[in-house]
Amino acid sequence: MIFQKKEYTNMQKLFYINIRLILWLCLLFAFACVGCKRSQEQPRMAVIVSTLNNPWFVVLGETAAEKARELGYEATIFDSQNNTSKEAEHFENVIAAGYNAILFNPTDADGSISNVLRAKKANIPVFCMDREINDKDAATSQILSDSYGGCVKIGEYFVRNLNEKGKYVEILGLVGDNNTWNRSYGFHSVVDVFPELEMVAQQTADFDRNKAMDVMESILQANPDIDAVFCGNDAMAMGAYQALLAAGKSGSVQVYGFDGARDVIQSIAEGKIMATGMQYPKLMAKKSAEMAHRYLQGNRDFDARIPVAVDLVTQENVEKFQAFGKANDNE
Amino acid sequence: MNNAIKYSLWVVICAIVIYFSIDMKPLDDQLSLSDSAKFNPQQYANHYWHNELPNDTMLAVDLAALQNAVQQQNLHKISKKVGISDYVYTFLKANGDVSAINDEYIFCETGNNTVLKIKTKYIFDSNVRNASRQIDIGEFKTIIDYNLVSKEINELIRVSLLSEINKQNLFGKKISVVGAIQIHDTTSILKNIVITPVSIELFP
Repeated sequence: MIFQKKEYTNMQKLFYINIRLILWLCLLFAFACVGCKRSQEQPRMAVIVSTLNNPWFVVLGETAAEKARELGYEATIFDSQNNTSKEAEHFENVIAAGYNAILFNPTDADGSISNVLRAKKANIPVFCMDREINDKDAATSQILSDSYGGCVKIGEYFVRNLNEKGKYVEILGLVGDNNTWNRSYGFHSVVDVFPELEMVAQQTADFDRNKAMDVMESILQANPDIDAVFCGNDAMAMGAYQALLAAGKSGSVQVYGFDGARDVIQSIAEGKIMATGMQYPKLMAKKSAEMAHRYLQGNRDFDARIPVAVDLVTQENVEKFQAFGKANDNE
Repeated sequence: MNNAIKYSLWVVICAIVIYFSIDMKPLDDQLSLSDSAKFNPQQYANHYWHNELPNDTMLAVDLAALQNAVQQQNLHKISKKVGISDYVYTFLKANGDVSAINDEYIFCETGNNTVLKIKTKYIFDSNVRNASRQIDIGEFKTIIDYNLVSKEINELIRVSLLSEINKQNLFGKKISVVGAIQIHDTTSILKNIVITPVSIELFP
């Protein structure tokens, strides 16, 4: 049997090429339609969190993403690692990828404004969670813990426990975060009224447990006779407690934190830490996701700032609470 | 020669452009300018205390209206909630007899099984700010400003009101008090009401 090579005319070649081209175009169109359908069916929310190096923020980010998924969105968590430029990269990527909304926990009250404004320009609503940015019009809404009010409560408890006199230390969080100052101002709005309470040292430890331990160790060398330490978050309270434990002073120096983290709630129950301010990260995360959902459904009526009340957790009432919430909060 | 003139001319033009593009002033002047743009919580609180507070106290509810609202579960109609909270705030006006005085409170018997505990020492809460219909969180650039207003109002209560009162002289006397209260939004009975006072007067 003899096979004869088929000869194609130029016209035939052109026809085959065109057929191939049309098939490719159909394939591309089909992919585009699938993508289009996918984006119509499942819009996306980005959850940009200042750091995932602190369990409190892990709970905040994961709860926000979970709630977004529950509401029918595809949700992705981005970790800014407490770095504003890293955060800027995330915003660029999120805007370029066409996310529908951003649930945002900022790294810096001033430094994060430009990122939020960029998203706003791209018509992407931004809902700040827990941490504030210093612009009341940039974000669609900001759901923030009432850090000031919470620390007023801690301050009153602190003053009563020390019988209105003694030496104390304050360990601050990140200086660029408004929560650091709201907590400090709230605490000082109380303790500064009592002249026999003397602050012997005030240093920052960036909300970091290890840094707080180092800071506390060096403060103790210069001030071995302190009565109490107030920390701007629970991670630092645990770090300070470790330093006091190592120095053999954990029984004589009272430690106060702020957050409602698992290890501090446990430590309060065990009588190691005096008190903390219970913030509600799950509540804030869920509300933010719900508000973003409402926005995407057409609602535009949002308060610029929504403070969330903070409760005082002490050794007397700790059984009413669990990590990151109330004991009866099973959600 | 031509090049020298040409380059000199460019240098002069560049110098003029740079000179008129840069505005130099002492750093202290610039800092004081930005300071003046900053929010002044003391000034705000003073203005509120002298000009706006009467508008709030005018709307203060009496004990009967408060009790009624609690029983009818209508607290939201006579109070204000700030953000997400289990508490509501309102201004309350009441009369009663001073039955006891301690370091922290004046106890006032109102005659209908309710004791008013008037704060006289630990004035640190934000009850007045939160109960106010004149102070709106939305008007502040940052939440720090909003909080500092509360601190300054409390300072005014301590300085302008409580420092002027001789507590011991009030014992056994009938007084009239107006102040801000915080109530749990599921409260069903009012027995002890803690009040942050903005006005305490001898009942005429």
